[in-house]
Amino acid sequence: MTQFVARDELIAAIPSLRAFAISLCGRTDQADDLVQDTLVKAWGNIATYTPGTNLRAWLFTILRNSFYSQLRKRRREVEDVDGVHSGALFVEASQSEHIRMREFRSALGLLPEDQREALILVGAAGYSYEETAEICGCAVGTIKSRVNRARRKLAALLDEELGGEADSAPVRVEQLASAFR
Amino acid sequence: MSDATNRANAAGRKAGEREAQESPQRDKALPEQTSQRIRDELMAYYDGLVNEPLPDRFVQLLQQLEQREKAGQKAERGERSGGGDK
Repeated sequence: MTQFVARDELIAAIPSLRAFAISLCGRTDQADDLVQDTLVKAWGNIATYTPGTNLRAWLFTILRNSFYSQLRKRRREVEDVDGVHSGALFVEASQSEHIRMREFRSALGLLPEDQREALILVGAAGYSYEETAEICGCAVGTIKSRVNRARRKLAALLDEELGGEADSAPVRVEQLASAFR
Repeated sequence: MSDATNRANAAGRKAGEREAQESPQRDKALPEQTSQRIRDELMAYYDGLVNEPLPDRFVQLLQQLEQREKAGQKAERGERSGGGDK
């Protein structure tokens, strides 16, 4: 069955799959586990993939489903994390990162996962609203509304920073992160 | 509305979808500068992630899965003595 999808095709999809995973969960270690899990599932369920359709979108679907089922499980285990988004994990930063990009990444991390996911798929990964709706298993209108809300929230967060409190978003993220521990 | 109009010119489809989704809201249109920043940094962020060096574990994993599958197929066909190698 795997003759339809060569190993090389899966390998070629890994960089964007991993980028999507990191932008979902904000941590490379967790993202790498998600990618690994996705590859194993994809290999085992390759019969359900329709050759000729978008392999990457199919992999993204598997990955985000794993991500959300893990997230639900974690939230059941830790009862009082309602309202604390995985954005709290977006504090991981490289030394060389540009301050502007750091602000942006912190703000991105404060978005609810579903909004961040929609924004990334439409605004960065290059999927149409329709493809994104298919990946996320919801209506096109839902995706549009998530993307709009994500943009507005990001704009508000970035405006706060531009308005003189340059560190407000990173500080808030760090506070959230310490509350989360 | 100038923001929406600009975008309608620049990217008609998206602006159209956006208006279809939300009734025109004068004070809620994002300033073009902010929209631009979000677009640019979102792409820079994502491209930065895509271009990160990959850990070896994924390619190794796929090699293992492939080997395991080949071994399984051979066992099924009772062809342990050879053949079917690539």
